[in-house]
Amino acid sequence: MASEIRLTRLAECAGCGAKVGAGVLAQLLEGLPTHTDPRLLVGYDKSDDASVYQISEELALCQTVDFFPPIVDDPFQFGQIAAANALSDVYAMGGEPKLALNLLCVSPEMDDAAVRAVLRGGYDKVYEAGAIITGGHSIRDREPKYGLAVTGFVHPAKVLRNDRARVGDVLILTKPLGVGVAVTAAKAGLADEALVRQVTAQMAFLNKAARDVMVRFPVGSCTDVTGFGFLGHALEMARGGEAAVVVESAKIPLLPGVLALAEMGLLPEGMYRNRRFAEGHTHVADGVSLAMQDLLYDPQTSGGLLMAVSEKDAPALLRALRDELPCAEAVGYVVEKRDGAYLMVT
Amino acid sequence: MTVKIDALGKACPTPVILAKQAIDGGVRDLTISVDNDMAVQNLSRLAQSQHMTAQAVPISGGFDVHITGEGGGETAPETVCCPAAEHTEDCTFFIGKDHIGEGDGELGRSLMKMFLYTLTQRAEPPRALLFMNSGVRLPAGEAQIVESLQALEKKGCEILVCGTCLNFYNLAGELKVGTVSNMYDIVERMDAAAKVVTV
Repeated sequence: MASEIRLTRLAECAGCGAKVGAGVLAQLLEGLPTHTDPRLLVGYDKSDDASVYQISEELALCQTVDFFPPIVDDPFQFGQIAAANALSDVYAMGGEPKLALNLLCVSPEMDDAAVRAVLRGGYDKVYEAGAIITGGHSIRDREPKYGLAVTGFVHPAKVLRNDRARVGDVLILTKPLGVGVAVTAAKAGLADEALVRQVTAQMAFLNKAARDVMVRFPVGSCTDVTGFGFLGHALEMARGGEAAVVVESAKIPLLPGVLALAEMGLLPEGMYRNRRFAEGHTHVADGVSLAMQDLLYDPQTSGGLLMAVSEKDAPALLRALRDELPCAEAVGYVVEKRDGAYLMVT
Repeated sequence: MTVKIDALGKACPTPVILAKQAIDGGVRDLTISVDNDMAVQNLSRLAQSQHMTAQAVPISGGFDVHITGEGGGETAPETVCCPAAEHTEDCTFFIGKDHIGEGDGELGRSLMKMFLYTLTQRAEPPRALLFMNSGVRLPAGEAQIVESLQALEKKGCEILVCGTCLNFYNLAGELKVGTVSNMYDIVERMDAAAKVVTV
């Protein structure tokens, strides 16, 4: 049976934790020649969630790619999670996924049933998203990996960039944090069954419902919270808007038990990378525990959407989101940048 | 006596697991060798959570982390948040009367109240609750039952209540939770469910 293979044993890094750190990435990309095209509305110079290319007055293409090594042991669930995570970048731009291509690395330890289960998981989520898989590419590799290249549609005037926080906006987060810690604890055998079930379900949960509610409101900026951690993504939002984000740590939704696990030092390496990247821009108030800070830097796989919306529209948006996503919470707000820090954790 | 653990070359979270196992086993003085700074930081967090102290000393190829203290860690209170509803169990309940089982009516109604409350205490909500015939009295009735149903609805459970039945019992204006529905939708929910349980 496929499920007898413990996929995470075949991988060194798990999920989005395998991502190259934001700081390193910026260095790597520096100096590479870029061609411009007036129809390219969002390119990689913006470090946004997906690139956007305008086709007509009414239509722009939204493209993204994401793949990573197994984050859970079950191959079907791994397929679902990797697909939900890749599709999420299109949702974060306010778009709708339409086409997807499989990216698959098969390791020698994986039998045919496991490979098929990964692919079935991917198909399952792409189908749920209302998109179709049109092909793909697979290669042999030491470590298994899976993900998707996704193309979606978005109205050119309704593209939601990740760096447009405006003073007075409220920030709303749609999924609890703590995925990296929960997965690390699961690997250590220290996560209880309920947490493992919940984190798995959460990672496989599409950001489609969040996106569908979001586009009915005048949201100004959006990103999905993934490998760079909550503060890494909040930093991009604040920096782009030359504003400061106040994060109300007491309001941050957390997976059950992750605070205690973070206190025990069950922290993924990605947390330290994210901390190094964003720490210099972050002011933390006295009384915010180290474990809470660690969770704010914790890399998320297939995390929720982080939306910036005016204070006036925030309550209605939050109410509408909660019909679908009971964990959605207003976790911070945007103020003028005064003392140099982009992020203020209270 | 110091217990020594060699965790050189071991990736996260192995050093923490090895140290935690030792501490749980009663060790109050241990030295664990690790080869990276992140492991040092994870271990000092572990020590703190166990009310112990950690000191790192550089060695060739890494660090020796010395953990000592009385121990006896307490777990901090946790922030609990409900899950984004993912119906892994995919179970739908058909509730066709306002009590459970045959026998004493009062006992039956009390059992129903307990049953609905118990559903709210489970990790996964049912996918849907379908109320028909005298079952519609439940979402139109007692506050305690309505509260349970509201909690389930908030967790993502769909609650459909037969409109014809509400009218029949003159409860059309009394519904406090759920959506007024019809035979077509109720049959469709039954058909879509992996498992339908009749209560």
